[in-house]
Amino acid sequence: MMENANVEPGSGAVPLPEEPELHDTFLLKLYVAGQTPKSMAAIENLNKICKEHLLGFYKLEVIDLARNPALARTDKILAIPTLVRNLPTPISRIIGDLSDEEQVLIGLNIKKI
Amino acid sequence: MPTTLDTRDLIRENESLKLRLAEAEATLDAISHGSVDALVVTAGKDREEVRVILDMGYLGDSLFNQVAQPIFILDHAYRIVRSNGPAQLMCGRNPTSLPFSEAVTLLPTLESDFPVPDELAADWIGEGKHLSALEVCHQHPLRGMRYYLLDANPVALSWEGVQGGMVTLVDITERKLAEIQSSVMSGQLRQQFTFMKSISDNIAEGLILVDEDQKVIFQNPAASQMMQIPESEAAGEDVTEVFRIESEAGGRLSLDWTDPGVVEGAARRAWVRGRNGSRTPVQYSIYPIKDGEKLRGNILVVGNISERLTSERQLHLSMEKQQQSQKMEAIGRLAGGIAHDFNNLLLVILGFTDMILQQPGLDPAVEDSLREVRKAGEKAASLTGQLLAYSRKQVLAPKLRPINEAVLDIRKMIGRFVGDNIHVDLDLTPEILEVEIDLAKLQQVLVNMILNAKDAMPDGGTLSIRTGRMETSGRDRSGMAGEIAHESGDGVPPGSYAYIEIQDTGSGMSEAVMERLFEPFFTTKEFGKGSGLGLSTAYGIVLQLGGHLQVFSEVGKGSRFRVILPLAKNQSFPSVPAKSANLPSQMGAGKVVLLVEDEDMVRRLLARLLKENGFTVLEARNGEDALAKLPAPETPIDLVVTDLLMAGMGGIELAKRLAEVRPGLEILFISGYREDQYNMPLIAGQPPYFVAKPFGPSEFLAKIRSILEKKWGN
Repeated sequence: MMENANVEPGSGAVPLPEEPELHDTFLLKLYVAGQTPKSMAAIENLNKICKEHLLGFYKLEVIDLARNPALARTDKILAIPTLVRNLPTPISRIIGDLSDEEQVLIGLNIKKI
Repeated sequence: MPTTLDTRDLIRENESLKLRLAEAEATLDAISHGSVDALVVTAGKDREEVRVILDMGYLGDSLFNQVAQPIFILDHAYRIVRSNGPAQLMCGRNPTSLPFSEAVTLLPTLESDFPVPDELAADWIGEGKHLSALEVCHQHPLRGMRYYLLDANPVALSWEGVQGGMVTLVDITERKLAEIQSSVMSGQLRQQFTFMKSISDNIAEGLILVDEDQKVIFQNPAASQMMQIPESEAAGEDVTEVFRIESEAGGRLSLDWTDPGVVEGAARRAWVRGRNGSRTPVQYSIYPIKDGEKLRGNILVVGNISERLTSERQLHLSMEKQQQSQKMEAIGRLAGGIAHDFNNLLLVILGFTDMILQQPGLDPAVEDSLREVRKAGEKAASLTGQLLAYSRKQVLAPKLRPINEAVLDIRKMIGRFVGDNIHVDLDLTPEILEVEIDLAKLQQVLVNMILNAKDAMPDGGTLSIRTGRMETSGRDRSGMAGEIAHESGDGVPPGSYAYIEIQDTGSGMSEAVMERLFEPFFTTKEFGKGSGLGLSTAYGIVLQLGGHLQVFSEVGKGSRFRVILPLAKNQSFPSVPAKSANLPSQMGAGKVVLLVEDEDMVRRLLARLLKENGFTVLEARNGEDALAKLPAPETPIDLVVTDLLMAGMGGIELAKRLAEVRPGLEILFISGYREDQYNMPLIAGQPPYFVAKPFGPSEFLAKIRSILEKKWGN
C-alpha cells in the first residue's frame, strides 16, 4: 500500500521528467563488508534517514560482501560502503558512511539542490 | 559516416561512460577522503574472482592509539609495520620498518621461567605459534625498568591472508613493584613473626590472646600445658571455657573482664583447672590491646606459681618455727631470770635453816619444823632446777667421772624400766674414759633414751648400751648403711671423745620425725603419754655438758642414740670431797675475806657463815664499793668472794681492777648461771674459782678450804 503524504493532490505542480515521483517506492541496496566501522556507521545513518524521509516508501537490502564478494559484480561495486538506488531510475550511488545527511538526500534525489 | 542509430548509440555510450567515470571519480574521492574502509577488487587470470580488501586504515589511528598498551604490528619478516603511541613511547621513536628485536630490547625477569629472547627469536609467525603472558622487562632510558606481560600472536594482515604478527604488551610494573615490596615486607613480617613466636614458645609464662569477644585467637605452649588444651582446640573458644579458674578450695571463679583492675594488668591469683583435671596455681594479669582508643582484644599472661607457693609456704613455716623458737627463748629467759632470783632466796632460806639446825640444844619441836622448812626449800630448789633445765640455764655440777659410771649406776634400774621382753645388752669399754659430767643429769638423759627405746619396742627386742672412745677428724657422722643421721649443732669438731650409745631394735624413725626430734613438745606418742620435752631436755643437757648428740635410725630396723662427750684432757684432779658440814670452826682464823654481793640477804648469810668459821669479813655491795673499802696494802686479803652479776660494777670488772691494785689475790666467783664459769676470763693465767648457786654452807666452805689449802699448801 502506497501513501503519498508528501504531495498535495491538485497542487498544479508539474514534476520534472527525470525526477522520481515521491510516491514511488525506493529500492535501496547498501553494500558493506562485515562489521567494519564505516559499514556499521552507514547502516545506522541510512536507517535514520529512511525513517525520517522515506517511511513507508522504501525497501532496503543490506548486502555483506565479506560473506559473498561475488555480489559486488551486480552493481559494479568498487568501494565499501556503497549505497545504490536501483529504483526509482536512474540508478544512482553514494559512496561512504552516509554521515552527511544533506548529501545523502540530494544524492538520492529526495531533496533538490 | 555514422548512422543516426550509430550516433544515438554513441551518445548513449558516451553518457554511460560519463556516468561510469563520475562514479569512479566519486569512488576515488570517497577513498581519498577516507570514507570507505574496504575495496572490491577482481583477481585471477580472467578477473573472475572478486575479493574484498579491508583497508588497514579502518583499524584507525584513533582506535589503535586509544589503546593504552603498546601494540606492534609486524610483517612476516618481523619488521614493524605499525605501532601505536605507547609502543612508540616505549621505543623512544617511531620504529616503523625497524626489526622488532632491534627497536625493543626485552629482557627476561628474574622471576620468569621463560627464556624470553629465545622464544621471541624463534619464527613464531611462520610457525603460527602463540606466545602468551611472557613476563619481560624493558629498560627505558627515561622511565627506568618497566615490567610487561607480552602476548605475541600471528595475524592475517589482509583478506588475502598475508601473515604478520601482533605483539601487545601490558605494563605490570606497578603490580610487580608492589609484589616485590610485599614479598620483602612479608619477609620482614615473617621474620618478626618467627621472632615473636620463638619468644612466646620459650617463655615459661602462658600467653593467651583473645579478641574483643573474648574468643581465643592464640595461645603459647606454656598456656597449652597449663590448661591441657592444644592451641588448635582452644582457638575460637570462649576464653572462660579454656582458662578455667578456681579458688584454692576449688570453687569456680569468673573472669571479670569488665573489672578495670583486672583488665589493666593487676596480678590475680587463682588455680587453673586443666582439661585432664590438673590444677595449677597461677598468677595472671590481663592487658588490653588497643588500636588507638578502640579495644581490639586482650592478652592474658599466666604464670605458674607452684614453686613460688611452695617456697612461700616453706618460708612461712620457717618463720613460724623461728617465731616459735624466739618465743621459747623468751620464755626460757623469763624462767631463767625467775629461777635465778628464787635461787638467791632459797640460798638464804636453806643457809639459815642449816645454820640454826647446827646449833646445839635445839628444841626438838623447832628442829622438826626447821627440817620441814628445809624439805620445802629443797623442793623449791628442785623446781627452780626444772625451770632452769627448761631454759637450758640449769646449774650443772660437772665432775670428772669415768663414763662407764653413768651406765653402771643405773644398770639396776634399767631392768625395771624395760620389762622382761626386752633383752639388755651392755657393752662397756674396758678403758677408763674420764669425762666431765653431771652424773645425775647425764643419767636423766640416758633414762630418757632408754624409755624411748622401750617404747619403740612394744613387742620386745634388744636394747644395747655401749660405751667407747671416739676420735673424730671432722664432720663425720659415722652412720651405718641405710641409716639416716641427725646431729645436734654443727657437728662434732675434731677431737677425742667418749660416747654412750643406746640402740634399740624397734620401729625406727622416718626422716620427717628425725628432723623434728629435738623440738620441744614434739612427740610421736599418744596424747598424755609423753610431754615432748624428754629429748629436747636431753639435747639441752648434752649441749650444756659440751657434748653432742647423734641419732641414727632406719625405719623398721631401729634407732641408735649416741651421746658424745669430750674426753678430759688431763688426769683427774682430786675433786673436793663433800665433807661433813661440821667443819673445823676455826678454819678461817686470822684470814681476811672480801665479800662482794649485792643481794643483802645472801651477803649477810655468807658473811655470817664465814665469821662463824673464824674469818674476818669485809663486806661490799658491788665492785665500786669493794674497791672503796679495800684496806691499806699492809692489811692482807686472803680471799675475795664476789658475785658475778651485780648492780654497778660486776665481779669480772672487779677482778681486773684488783689484779692491778692487789695482784695475786685469790678470787672465788659465785653465780646462779653455770655456764658463766666457761665464759669467764682467765685471772692471772688461771681459770677462776667458781661455785654455782644455790649451794649449801658445807659446799661453800669446802670450796674456800680447797682454795686456801692450795694457796698455803696446808
